[in-house]
Amino acid sequence: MSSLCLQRLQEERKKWRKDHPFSFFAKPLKKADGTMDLQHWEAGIPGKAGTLWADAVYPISIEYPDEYPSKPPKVKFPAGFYHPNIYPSGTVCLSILNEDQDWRPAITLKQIVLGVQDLLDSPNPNSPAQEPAWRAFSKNKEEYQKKVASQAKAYAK
Amino acid sequence: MSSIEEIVHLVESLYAPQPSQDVNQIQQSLQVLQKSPQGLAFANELLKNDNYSPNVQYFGALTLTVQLNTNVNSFEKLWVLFKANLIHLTKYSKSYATNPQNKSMLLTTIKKLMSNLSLIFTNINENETTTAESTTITSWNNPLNTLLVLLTNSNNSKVEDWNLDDNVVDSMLVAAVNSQVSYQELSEFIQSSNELNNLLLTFTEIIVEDLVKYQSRKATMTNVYKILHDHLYITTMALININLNIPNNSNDTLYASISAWITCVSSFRNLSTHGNMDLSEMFQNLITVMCTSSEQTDKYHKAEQILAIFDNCFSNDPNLMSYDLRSQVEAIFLGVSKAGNADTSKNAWMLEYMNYLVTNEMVSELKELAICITDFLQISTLDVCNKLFTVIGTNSASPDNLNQYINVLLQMTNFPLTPILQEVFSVRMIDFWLDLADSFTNLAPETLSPQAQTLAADIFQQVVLIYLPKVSLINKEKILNEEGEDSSLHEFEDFKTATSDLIESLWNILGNDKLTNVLIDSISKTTSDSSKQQNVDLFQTEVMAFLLNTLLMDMNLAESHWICDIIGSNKNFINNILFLLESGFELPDSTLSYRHLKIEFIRTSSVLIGTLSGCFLQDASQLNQCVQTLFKGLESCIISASELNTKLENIVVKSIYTVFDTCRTELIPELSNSLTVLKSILRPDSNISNYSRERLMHTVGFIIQCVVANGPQEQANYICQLVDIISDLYERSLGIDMPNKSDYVHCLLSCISELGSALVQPDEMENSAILPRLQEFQQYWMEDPLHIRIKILALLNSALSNPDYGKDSHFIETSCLILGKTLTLPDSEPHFLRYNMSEMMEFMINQLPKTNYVNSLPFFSYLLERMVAHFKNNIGPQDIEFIFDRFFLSQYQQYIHNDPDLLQTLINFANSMLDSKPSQLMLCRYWNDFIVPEFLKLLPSREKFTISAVTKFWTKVINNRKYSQEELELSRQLIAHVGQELVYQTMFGLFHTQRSDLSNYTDLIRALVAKYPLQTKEWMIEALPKICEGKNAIHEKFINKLAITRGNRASGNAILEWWLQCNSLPTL
Repeated sequence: MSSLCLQRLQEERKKWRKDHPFSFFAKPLKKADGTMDLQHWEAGIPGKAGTLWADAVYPISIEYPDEYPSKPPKVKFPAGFYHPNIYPSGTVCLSILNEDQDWRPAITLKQIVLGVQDLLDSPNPNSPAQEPAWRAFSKNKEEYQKKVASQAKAYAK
Repeated sequence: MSSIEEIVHLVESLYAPQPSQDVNQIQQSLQVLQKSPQGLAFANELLKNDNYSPNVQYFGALTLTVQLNTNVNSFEKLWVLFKANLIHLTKYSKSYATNPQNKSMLLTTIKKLMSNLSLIFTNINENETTTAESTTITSWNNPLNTLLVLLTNSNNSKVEDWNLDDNVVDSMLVAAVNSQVSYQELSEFIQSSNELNNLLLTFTEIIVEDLVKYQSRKATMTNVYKILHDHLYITTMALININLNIPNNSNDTLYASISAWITCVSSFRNLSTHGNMDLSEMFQNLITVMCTSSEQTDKYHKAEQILAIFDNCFSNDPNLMSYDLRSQVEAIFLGVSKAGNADTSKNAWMLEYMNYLVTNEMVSELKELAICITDFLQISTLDVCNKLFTVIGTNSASPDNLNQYINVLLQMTNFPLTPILQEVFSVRMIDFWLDLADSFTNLAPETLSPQAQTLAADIFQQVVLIYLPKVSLINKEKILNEEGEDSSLHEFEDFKTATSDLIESLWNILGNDKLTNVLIDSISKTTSDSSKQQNVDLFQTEVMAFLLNTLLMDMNLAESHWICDIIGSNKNFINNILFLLESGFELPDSTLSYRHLKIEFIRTSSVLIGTLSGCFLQDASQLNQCVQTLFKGLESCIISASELNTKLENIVVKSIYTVFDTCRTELIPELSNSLTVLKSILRPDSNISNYSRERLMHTVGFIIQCVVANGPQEQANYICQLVDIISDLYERSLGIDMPNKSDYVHCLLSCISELGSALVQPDEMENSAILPRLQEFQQYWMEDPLHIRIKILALLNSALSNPDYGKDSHFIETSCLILGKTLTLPDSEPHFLRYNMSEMMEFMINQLPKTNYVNSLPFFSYLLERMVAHFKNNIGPQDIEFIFDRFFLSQYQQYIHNDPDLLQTLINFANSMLDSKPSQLMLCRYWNDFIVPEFLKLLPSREKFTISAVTKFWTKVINNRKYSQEELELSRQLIAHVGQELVYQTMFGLFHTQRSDLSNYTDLIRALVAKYPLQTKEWMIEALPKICEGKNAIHEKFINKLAITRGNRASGNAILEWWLQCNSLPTL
């Protein structure tokens, strides 16, 4: 890991601990020796109240590349996560996480998790990433809503 | 529009609360005027006349801003505007200072004029002085001096008479611009008038705030930094320090100016090469002023302001303050210093201040103080760590001093009020302890002092003891009772989560011995006499159980015998956790706080029981008790339907699921009881969610999966019993009218699917009891003497015969999941849902005409794909033709052709066959008649999913590891035949696609280049000029690059470059 990457990740951790949105969590994973692995984080995204996604906290993993912050982190839900903009592997398709699109080195962890939370209830029709959720979302809202509600139960707080 | 009266009228209308005219129109007219060559003259008129309203005068100053921005490149204009701003600022400042009470409305215009001058200051100084013409102002060193001199001059000459065209005034202004002011003159000026003093402070504040704003113009700011450092900084520091030394100067403008300067110095110190701007004297004065602030003098107003300034410094750029100054602050804050040489007597002031805040319940101010102190402490965590635990820092700190230091920090953490609601010291100190723990963990072992481990254990054990009551639900209850469900509640929840993170880190230091075991032991003792439970014990149990769960979750308890032994030897431990669970269910839900407590008690205890299930594999003596309590709890929360009960039910079901999944064999004795519970909750009148019904069916299935010791018949009897129950419930549901009946019936079918999933042998149980009797089980399920498969199929057909259900894609999806449950399992694995191909085909053929084709095709396709892959050796091209014909081609024109999702389904079906046995597809008659020509046409699609699927298809056709020799030959013949068209369509699609879809085509082109390098080159030469005319040089370069890459990763860049160049976009 480059010193720039390490320095920035330490700063991100500090910032997050000092100021993070309520009900979210994010922390670096531990290595086998008990020390922190700053390049691999686990986090939880609460569904927004009043939406189909509410009352649940959705787990994500965040993987920071060595080139961070020049390159964006990879954010993943568990494989098979049901959402039109989440790839079958769980990778999140979001413009601020795309190096060729809106990623900027100044984007913080807080902005990322809030962006992912926004995405949950506001799928982006221009970036479909998985067929089942996308099809249901665009053609069969009832099926979509049932699946999302069932997923919310599985990740209920 | 030319008369000044008209302009005044328009400005007044613009700012009127209810404008009589269209505001946009007024704005547009005024903007034209502001930018016009007459703008300056109008601005002067508006500013000159004292009778105009403040709005009109402000508009005059604003017009000068517009003029400055419009005439940025003209020196002559700039000088005129510079003069105008100086004259008006002097006049307005003078007017305000003479009569501040009646003229305070002038301040807005004064600040605007100052801001204009700040812009001029930056613009003039952006470039270094090069010419020495006397009439040219090429640098402006010190706006403060200029204003001071002009204000002084205005005492001798009437400022109202200063005219822009007056040569005498002009000379005076030129002289004032870079005139020198001595410290004495400055001091006398400050003493002469509070208002003029404040104006100087405001002016310097505005200048540095603007400079920070203009930071992005870094390349041109070097000279500005130099001027700032050499001139303005010196005057401002003198100005601020004189102010700080004026007794009883309680001036908010002063502190705003100080804050702005700290931000500015912090921003520039890494950019400027002109030396450091030391703030030590100012900080020293601030410390002194802070310690003189008191309840009697200013009600600690100055202390609050200064602490806010310090916090800004500590949290953003602590190195602005020197080590010595920080030592002074440390002694004030804590009454002790690590180094032991600071004057700690001023801590009395801090204690007095804290006392004042606590006595007067000034929670917000106390919070600010806590933030400031904890931000300060975090500056030196590493230093504290080194001094405490290593041999590195022992020379400079005495052990007694350090002990005292740590004790103060522990006391501060244990601040004796309710966290969040009344104090945040404990909340904020979490970060400090976490950092200290992490620093300790990261220390190199050879640097540790001999007593480091003992000392660390001692300190951090105390920290744990402090936090246990702090994050207790007693405090949550207080918050709920006091403030309801507002942000304080969320803050408390975050506090609790942060504490569990801390505990996780502390485990690295304290280990099981001093942490995990202690928690287990303490939980066992909290409620040793369960007949005399008090709430306080429950709260203690809850908090310890919550934190213990954090530790145990990271361990594999099934393999941590040592921990399980400890748990096993503390029989009261499980009893007390179960007591917590039972108490949660017994709590009323009449108040908000009860509802929260209920959820928390139940959540913490049931989650911990789930986590502990690994231990039951070693000692199952209390497993039954746990399961019974969970079932009893479930029963109590399905008595009536409510949002709270649904939440609780979900929590408990999750726990039951975890326990049953882990302890399958150990729970076989519980099967009968579990079936009774399951029967009860499956009933339509049970107040339980369908989701929980399905999960519990899965749960019971876990045990049935392990009932193998007595042969397959016993297992089959249980399965049959459940299938009969479901069939019976389905039959009964037909005759009753109930809300959400469709969902209920669907749930019954899903239960069969869940049972099927539960019966799949888990990987880690390969050596289970079934292995010796594998053949017997295989034979049994092949014969299926109880006709379970037939029963299920009949049930599915019956349900789908209802047109409402038959057209509902949910039902098709679940049916397909049931029928295909074993298609991904090896043939050797016995399973009750092992349907054969003809049963599946018959089902699908029967249902296809009755369903909603568009919504259901993906699910049929899912089943077909798996079926074809599973039975690949038993089916031939004719079967594939039949499937294609029946499921896809017959509906192609009507539905699939125009629907990208269905197109993707069709292409993916073809792809799945290329993945299993390609010849089945390549030898079927639709290969040449339909698939190849149609899939070529689909290459230039617009839809992402179609592009992704069809490019994958052609990539597989070209490069497929599954190919036999015969299939490889078929592929080569095909590409030789359609290669030109394939390249044309691919490149056409690539050229017209969006950037995010390029990678799909890239993979296909790479495969082509790798497998058919020479032919691809020829095909490209032919195709590219037709796709993108007039760019032959680009095409040629691209083709050559592609040939060199031979399909390796570098081709991606060549393709991207070609796409960018052909689309006339900026290249890399």
